[in-house]
Amino acid sequence: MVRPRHAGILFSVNTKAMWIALAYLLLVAIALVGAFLLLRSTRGPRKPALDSERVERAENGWFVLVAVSLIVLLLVTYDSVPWRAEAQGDRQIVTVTGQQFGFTFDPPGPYRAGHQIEFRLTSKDVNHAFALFSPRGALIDQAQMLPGKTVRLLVTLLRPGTYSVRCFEFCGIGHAEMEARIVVRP
Amino acid sequence: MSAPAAVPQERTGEAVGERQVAALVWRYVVASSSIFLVAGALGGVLRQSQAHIVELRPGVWYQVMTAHGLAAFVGWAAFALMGVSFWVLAECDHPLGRRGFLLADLCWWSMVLGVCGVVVSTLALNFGGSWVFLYPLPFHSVGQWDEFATGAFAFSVLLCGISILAWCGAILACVLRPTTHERGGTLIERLGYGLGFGLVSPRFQTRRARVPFPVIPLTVIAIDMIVATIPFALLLIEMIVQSIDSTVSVDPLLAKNVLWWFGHPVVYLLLFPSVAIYYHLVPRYAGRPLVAGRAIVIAWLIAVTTNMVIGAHHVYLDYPSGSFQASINTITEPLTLAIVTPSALSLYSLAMTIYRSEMQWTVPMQFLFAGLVSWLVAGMQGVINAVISFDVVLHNTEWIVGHFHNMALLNMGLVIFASIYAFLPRLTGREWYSDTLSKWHLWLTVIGGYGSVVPWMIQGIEGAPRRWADLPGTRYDALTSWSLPFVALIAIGQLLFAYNLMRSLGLTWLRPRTAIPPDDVPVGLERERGRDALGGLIAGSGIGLSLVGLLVAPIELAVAGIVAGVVGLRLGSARTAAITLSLGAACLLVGVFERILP
Repeated sequence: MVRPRHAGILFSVNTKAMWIALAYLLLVAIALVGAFLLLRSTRGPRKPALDSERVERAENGWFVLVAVSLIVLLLVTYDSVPWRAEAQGDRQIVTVTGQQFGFTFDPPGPYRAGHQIEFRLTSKDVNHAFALFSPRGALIDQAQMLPGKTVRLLVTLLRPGTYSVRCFEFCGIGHAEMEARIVVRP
Repeated sequence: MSAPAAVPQERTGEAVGERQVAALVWRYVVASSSIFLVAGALGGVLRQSQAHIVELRPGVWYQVMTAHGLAAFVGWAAFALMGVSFWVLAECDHPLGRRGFLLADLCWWSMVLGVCGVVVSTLALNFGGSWVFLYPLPFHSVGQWDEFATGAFAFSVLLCGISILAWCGAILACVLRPTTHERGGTLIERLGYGLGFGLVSPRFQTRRARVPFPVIPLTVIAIDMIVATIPFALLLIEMIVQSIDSTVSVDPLLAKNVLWWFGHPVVYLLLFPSVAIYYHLVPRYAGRPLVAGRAIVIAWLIAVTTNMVIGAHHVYLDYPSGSFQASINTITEPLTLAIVTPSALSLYSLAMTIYRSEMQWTVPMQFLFAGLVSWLVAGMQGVINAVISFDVVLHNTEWIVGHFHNMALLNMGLVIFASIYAFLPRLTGREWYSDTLSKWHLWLTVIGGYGSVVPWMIQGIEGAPRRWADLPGTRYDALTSWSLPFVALIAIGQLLFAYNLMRSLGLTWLRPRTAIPPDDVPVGLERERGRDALGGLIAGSGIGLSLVGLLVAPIELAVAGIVAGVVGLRLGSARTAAITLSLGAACLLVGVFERILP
């Protein structure tokens, strides 16, 4: 069963981004402790030679540990790739066209809160990207806009308000001015 | 197949003398370090503009961004590591032959010309399509640059690509040179030797000695970069043709994939030679061989195969309907995670080599240790970026900018410095002028580097977009401002490095006169002190001139300040003159920008 994608927002930061940052900080702390212990191990009196067989066995163990950790990470996150999001029957369909240096929305809104929106993203000239921000300024979701092609982005905006859209792919001299607003009503 | 008799290289007529190789490698070091100082200064200009000190116009900002990215990434980091790799191979008993030397020479020239072309086409011809120049943006400039600039830029990047291909040829010529394989072997067997297969199968043991570990990552990346660069070169040729004939075009999604087909492995053109340097130098200072088993051969086999095909992780968020891109991206995710294994195993091997060793904590080893920690810290960011569902909230944010500066400056960059500190005595026949300055260089780079990188990462978590000349709203301004003093620390660190390097090379005009031992010049000492005082006075007046020029105008007064600094330096007041020159240059820069910008 593929879960529909909801925007998780805590304060003004994306919840997923925040958890990523916290998990990363924990790993960095562990890494720094390891580096410190490694540094300390070279101080002091002369040490006995390493048992090479034991070290090689440990190397194999480390290899397996890394491989298993990566496989678990892959399996845990595999389900939530954007193109596996489930489209709902009553979704709102909005075509968004990027063009240096603005977005055109069809229909222009307002859109309904709590109902899934399918953004059909395309571009008239160069590569752009559609990045959607909550009224409090947190990045909700994003996808690329390609000239002559359509990318489908499914998002459910739970709260009413004015959302921002910014271009997230460098598109020329006016890139930093390429912003738009969309309104979501109850 | 019978093994050919071992022939001393001198008799084959194909070996190149150590002095020649040293001179060549030193040329790489000097050119890449010079590019580094310019590219780094451009980076500082970008950051201060985002902090609204002296704001560049968006067009200028993107031109500088394009020049900074390519010059720093390819013209400094890749170029330096490419050059140092030849020395590592020479020390591993794989010296350059004549053919390899010619290719290495071609590599140097084409890279220098290519980087000069990039700088000219961006800063003079106004090309500002970013250093990844996603097609078809180079042909949609909205009047900022013309087709000629696009063609000149594409040609310059093509020269850099030719340089990389020449380097690959030189590395493979070194590793595969038949006369250095005493036991003979076919080309495939010698290639297998270079990839480390000799450690698991005697068939590939084509030399008497076991393959030195640094040879493996260099062979891997030389193979990969050939496969990666050729399609990219074709795309660049298409762009050159299109700049002349506008009826020619290519599919944007295909172009994007071709760009990243090259754009991913080129990152490893920095990482794998860095790994080779770690493999070479860490055991030297630890006083024991690299602690590595056969698993590392498997890891490098994974690297050589997956590195070529995982560029699509840069286009995770491109999945148009009716294309195969979503499927390609899905397959790319596990392959990208797989390439973590050579890094994980290398870090394990290097850590075990250091663990409880009789380590000599020399200056290069201190740089290497800091680099290893950064490799781990930045590598974990890479794992996060490799996961599609995480990429959705981090893609094209400042997090990515933080990640690659963490990896490029604080891992590969520190390895480059470590290798320069380690190899300078043999390359030039001179000792380092000051170890104290070297240690200051390390600390300033590390503290300044992390102080600069961490704000980017936090901004990225908060959704700040990358490649925006002016970040949206005011939310990100405080962190950008806080990063500036750290950027200054990086700059000071690199100036100390440049000073230390020039003093080591014997550039005596930098020497303070008071440093002359009194016993050597007993009669002239008093006169020297007098000159110092006069120099200090003149240089000090230069500080005043520069500040008045900046704050009151005209800015030309800063030029007078710089001249006063030079005079003070010539008279022997090095310290005051250094302050005057730095301040004068900064004032002049700020003043000029203020004048040319609206």
